[in-house]
Amino acid sequence: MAASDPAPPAGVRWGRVVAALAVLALAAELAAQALIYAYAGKPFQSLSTYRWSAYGLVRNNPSLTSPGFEIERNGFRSVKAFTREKAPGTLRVILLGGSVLYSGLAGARLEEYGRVSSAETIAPYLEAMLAADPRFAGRPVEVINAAVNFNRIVEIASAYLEEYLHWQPDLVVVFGSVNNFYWYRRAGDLAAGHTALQMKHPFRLEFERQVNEHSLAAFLERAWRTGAEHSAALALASKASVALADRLVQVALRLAAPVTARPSSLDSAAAETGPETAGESRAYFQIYASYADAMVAAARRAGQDIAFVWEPALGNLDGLKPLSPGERSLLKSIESSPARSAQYETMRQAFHALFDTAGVPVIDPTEALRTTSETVFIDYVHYTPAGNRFVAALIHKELGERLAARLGR
Amino acid sequence: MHIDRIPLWLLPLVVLAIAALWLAWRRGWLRLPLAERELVVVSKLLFIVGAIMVLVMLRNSIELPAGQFIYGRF
Repeated sequence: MAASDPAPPAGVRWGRVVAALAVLALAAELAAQALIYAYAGKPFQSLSTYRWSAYGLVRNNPSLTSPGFEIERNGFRSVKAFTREKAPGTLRVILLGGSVLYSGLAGARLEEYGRVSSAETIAPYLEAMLAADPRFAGRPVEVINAAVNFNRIVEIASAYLEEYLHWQPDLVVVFGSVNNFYWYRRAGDLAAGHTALQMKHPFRLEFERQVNEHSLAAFLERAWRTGAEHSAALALASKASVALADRLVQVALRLAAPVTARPSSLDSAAAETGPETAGESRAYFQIYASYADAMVAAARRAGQDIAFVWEPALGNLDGLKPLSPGERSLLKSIESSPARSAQYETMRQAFHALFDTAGVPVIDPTEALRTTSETVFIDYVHYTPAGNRFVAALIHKELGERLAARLGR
Repeated sequence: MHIDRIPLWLLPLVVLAIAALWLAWRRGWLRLPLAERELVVVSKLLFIVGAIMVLVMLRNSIELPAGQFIYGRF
């Protein structure tokens, strides 16, 4: 009955209320399905970026409906599907790491490159190079991108030991140094447990809340998220409410900044402390080394070759790379300082020393970057498609001979 | 060719569409099979569901403010 009808019913007709809600839900669902199809070019499956994993915290969600990020059924960022069973004679390389390898993007970036597609990460370029290499002629070649954004060595090591070791790769290449070493450490941070490798991963906090917490709020969130895996309208509403809540909290934090930023005696003491001491640097690196040692030992026992890749950061290159105009403009938005660069360089040297001593190859693009004025960086540390090809060529050059010798044995 | 990102103009468009529907209903151009009281009940239910969701997410955002290094929330 319309609002303008002269004699509205006395009570609420609950059947009509339920029917109206059902019609609204159906209309919202149809509109959301259409919008997601226009956005991604495929029907809605899920808008969740990740799935929980018992080891290595999370994996990429194969059901992710996205135009730029294609995830195959095992959670690898790839336009090609892989199977765990390895065909005889196959040359299989697994790349493990964080967002540099995944080709995720940070906030400030070169917009003209858009997103780096799943066909333009380091893995497909390396696969094409190995497949075209006469030393591997006649062999099926697989290069698997098993990266997950913000993976540290903690997550990479557990994912490798539990899962990827059993994929029988001929070669494992470990990226992800940025997530272990990029954040500036001050004196006392290590003792306080405030370093990248000691703190709980942000996804771990989400895991604790969503899986282990049994409050009403956690229950409601689980119910909503479960619905969002089956309904495009709920998935979009969920994304919108997360964005709204994040925006509100950011505004609140900005408004509260004058009060919260007031230096207490503790804060001013922390501000006065300089970078970590040489002893703290060594102790911090030992945390990384203990995980890396475990990976090297496991690879050797399984008869797999292993190599590690150092990830240079644009802000720490200290004029080493001839910058393209795009990279020069990026540099203005990147926080950098001589002390920060020195700390990163100390870690780079320790990285080389660790693996040189262990007889493990290191691929470090730092020196090779001197030779290119191409736009390699798309933001403070991730690569453009050309940058991914550049790093793939470096890996091919440095490890091709070793791989050929291995297959010849 | 797909749009790649959810466009920013979508939110004002949705708000505009809702405002237009409300105006059409008030002016009597749109006849709904619900009485005003029933419409209020429907609106309240939708508001409660939406508010619960935003409150739950607000709690999460306060606990773990989104920064540059949270690569997509769950």
